[in-house]
Amino acid sequence: MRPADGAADTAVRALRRATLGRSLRANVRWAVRAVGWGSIVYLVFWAVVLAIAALQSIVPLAPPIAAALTRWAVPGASAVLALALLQAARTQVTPLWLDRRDLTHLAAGAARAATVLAWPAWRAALPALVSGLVVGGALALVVPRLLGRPATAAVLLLPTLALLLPLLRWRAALAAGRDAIAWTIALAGAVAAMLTAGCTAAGVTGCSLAAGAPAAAALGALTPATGFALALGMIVLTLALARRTGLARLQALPPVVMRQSELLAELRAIATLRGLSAITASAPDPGARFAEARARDALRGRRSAFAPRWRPRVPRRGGATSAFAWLALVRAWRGSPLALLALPPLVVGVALTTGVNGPFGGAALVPGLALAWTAAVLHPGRAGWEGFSVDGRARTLAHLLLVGSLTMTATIGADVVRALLGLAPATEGWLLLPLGLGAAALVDTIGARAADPRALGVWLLAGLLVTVPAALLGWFAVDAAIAAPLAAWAWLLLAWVRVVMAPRYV
Amino acid sequence: MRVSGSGAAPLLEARDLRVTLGGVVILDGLELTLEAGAAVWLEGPNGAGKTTLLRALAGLLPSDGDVFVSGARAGSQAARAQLRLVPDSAPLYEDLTAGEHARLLGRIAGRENADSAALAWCERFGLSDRLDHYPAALSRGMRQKLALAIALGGAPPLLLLDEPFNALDADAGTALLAGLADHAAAGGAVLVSGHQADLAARWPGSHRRLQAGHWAGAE
Repeated sequence: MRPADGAADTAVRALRRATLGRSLRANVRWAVRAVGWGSIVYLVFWAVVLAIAALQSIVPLAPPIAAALTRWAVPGASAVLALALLQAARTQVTPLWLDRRDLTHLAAGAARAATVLAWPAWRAALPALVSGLVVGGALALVVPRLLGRPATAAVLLLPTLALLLPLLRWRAALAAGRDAIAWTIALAGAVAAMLTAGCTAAGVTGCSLAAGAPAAAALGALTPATGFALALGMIVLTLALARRTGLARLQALPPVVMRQSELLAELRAIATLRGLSAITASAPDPGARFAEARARDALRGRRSAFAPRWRPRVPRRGGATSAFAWLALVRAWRGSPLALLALPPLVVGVALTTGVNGPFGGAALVPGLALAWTAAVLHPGRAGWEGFSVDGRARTLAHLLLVGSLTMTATIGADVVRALLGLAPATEGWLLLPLGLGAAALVDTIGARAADPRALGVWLLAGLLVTVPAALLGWFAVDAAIAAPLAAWAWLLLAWVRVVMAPRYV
Repeated sequence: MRVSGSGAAPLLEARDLRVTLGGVVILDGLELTLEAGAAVWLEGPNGAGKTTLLRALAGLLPSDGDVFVSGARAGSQAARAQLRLVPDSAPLYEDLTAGEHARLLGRIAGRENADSAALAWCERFGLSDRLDHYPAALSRGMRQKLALAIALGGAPPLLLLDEPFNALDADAGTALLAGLADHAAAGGAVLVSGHQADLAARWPGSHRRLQAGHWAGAE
């Protein structure tokens, strides 16, 4: 059998029509079933009413304020545009990608690359176009009421600029971030933004408006005729650039699309799941963060996509406690770099300032919260024990040992810093150890019942609860010399009870 | 049925093929030529680079070196029209029925009657009564059969199949083995990866072994 000319392209178009049409109909059906036509009409009605009411409630700004706003809004908007252009010019990630099904059936098929990439191109352009229309439309409605000037050109300018950005990103990705045209446009935008800012600072309005013409037109600072002429110029430029990019004539799929598609599809799936978790308030997948980091590393061709930069040696002896301690350290090390960097200065900072000011109960709140956060960062988590029974006591002990040793080290470090600064050692410093252990015990207890032991709610609640003994003693005006040891014993008791009563997890 | 390529050039020619991912060398300087009628069973341990090799040959992975399919550079439209790759777990469109897959994806092969040939293969694999089912209602083996039926129906000169026998029952495995032998006999070329020793023993063509990105036994 010989290849039939154009048959593959026709089949790809038919496939897209069938799958997208059904997907759209399924989504509409879901929306109607979940919300109902009546509710949709009701919501749309109120959305329109609220939008009209919000529009009518806009009061024109006083002339001096309107003038000042216009003066600084133009360089501000120009700077945002320049940054967006520079970001687009330096990108090496393609905005057009195929999912696994398309890669398997279409990318290795006989259809033209242009036909295969037609839907991804729409998928990249459509949200940009809609966002541009919405923001442009909003500007066209709000600016006249707020500043007393028409800004109708924004309806054309914003969608055009919004379409220009994915176009530049596509060109940049094809040239691995070295596309001459994309960089020329981005640098022109940067120079214009700097000129606009300079002219505004110097008070030369004409120069500012000329250099920042797109932003000025979108904000109604130019005459409507000038604004529309500029918008038409931008449309012609964008169309010419799109034509020059030659997506419609593409025969072979660019290597960047082939290399990055699967990873971009994976990242999109992770983002969708995260969004769904947020909407339904369900537990996020604790492994998603690592999968996302790995996919991003792979996208940039980094070796860390295949193996960690640091391989911890799991201790051969020491049993479950030391194994859990190692697991916690490894998770903390491979977790958020920001959390890891913040950990030592935070704990030392807390150690330096403990009990310096305020009543005893209030003074315990900040270190209590900080140590609970530290305990959450160092939590061994659920990895490694899901699906089989483990000794909860060993896990809790490992957690307390880590937090305890970190707190002890920080207390000693804080005393060294105090000595270097010529300050007396903090007598309350020793309170940090029981406080840290109490906070860790509470994080461990609450975390065992939460979906994610490191979640914000877990350590926030633990931080508040751990300060309760100190707060109560402070509230009853118990002398600090008595209250401090009492609170310390309460925290130690809490930690001990947690270790003794730690459940077995399955 | 006679499979026809573009002429005198080998159906597949890879010269000094090298694939590096994140600084890790997966394939290192491989040479491979498949003439019309070749049927090669690709074997090797897990992680040897079999899947990467098949993907690179199909033009789905950027690689160094030269890969030509019927004389056209891998990844070009001309090359893509000459081959079909079936991965070990072929993803399907969840909103298309099995029959629609066979018809639409068969036509994407770009050959006349490819859709009816794909449907004929569905019948041969025992999928006739499942053609109006969505993929979610098909077992893993049935999904694999569907993906294979689409590829075989397209009858491209070059077939690249990644562990196609994994989820198949014995009858389907035998049918596939016979179909691949027929394909090679009709002037096509087949490169199949697999681990099944019994099927490898019945394989009608030659065997190549990949080891850590090199051909086993090669310097």
